[in-house]
Amino acid sequence: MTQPADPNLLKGNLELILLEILEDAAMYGLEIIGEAQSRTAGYFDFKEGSLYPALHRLESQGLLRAEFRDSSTGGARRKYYQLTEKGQRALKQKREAWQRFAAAMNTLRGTP
Amino acid sequence: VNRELETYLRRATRGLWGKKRLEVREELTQHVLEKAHGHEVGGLQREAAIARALTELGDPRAIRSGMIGVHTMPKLFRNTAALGLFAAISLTALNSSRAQIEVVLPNANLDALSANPITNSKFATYLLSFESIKQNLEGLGIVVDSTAKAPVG
Repeated sequence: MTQPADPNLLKGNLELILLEILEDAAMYGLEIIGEAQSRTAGYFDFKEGSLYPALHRLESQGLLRAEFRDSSTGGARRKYYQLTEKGQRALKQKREAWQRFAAAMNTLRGTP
Repeated sequence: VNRELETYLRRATRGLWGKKRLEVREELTQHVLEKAHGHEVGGLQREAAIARALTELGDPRAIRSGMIGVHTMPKLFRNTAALGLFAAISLTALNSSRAQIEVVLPNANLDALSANPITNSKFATYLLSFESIKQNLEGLGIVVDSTAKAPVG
């Protein structure tokens, strides 16, 4: 398993990470955490409690839409989040900003 | 509901109100129970499984703080008029729906209070019934005790 990411880096980029994960499919909290871990080989290891306020903030900003759905396993209802059109646009902007930042960092240390 | 889970949920949602509080409770409950189920499959007893799931979810005060930042504070700021009122006057609890309180404030948007200013210059005087103040404060989630007491402040 990869060494987990610096928590401050994760915190500073949490919104971009969540938008990336939710780009293709609606997911609920635990599923998002699992997806982040599996797609990054454990590098993105969220503090679970930080996830929900971030999801609610994105929802209140209109970047995510949420709805409760019955569980397929018969348990409690799950709250699923998915990107809105505004969220798609925000993801594109944040992704470009991140790429410019990463490129600038590489330039700074002399790596093309 | 498991007592430890109930205590956690109460701490995590303190300060939230109404439907939003219920939704956050339901979402966190689902998270904990599903996570606990995984721990049970792994061999833990039910109580221990829930306890571990709660530990992994983290400090409920952090969730509370984050949720209040999203749901409660913006609403409070949107209602600046009511907040200004709350800060500007010493509220004497009046047990009468016909009682009125005279408030002199700089001209501000007091639409939320449905008050008609008597003057409309730099400062305006508003006559507000206790009931209208009570309704607006309760709309912000503030509990108003309307029994007669000594003046505050």
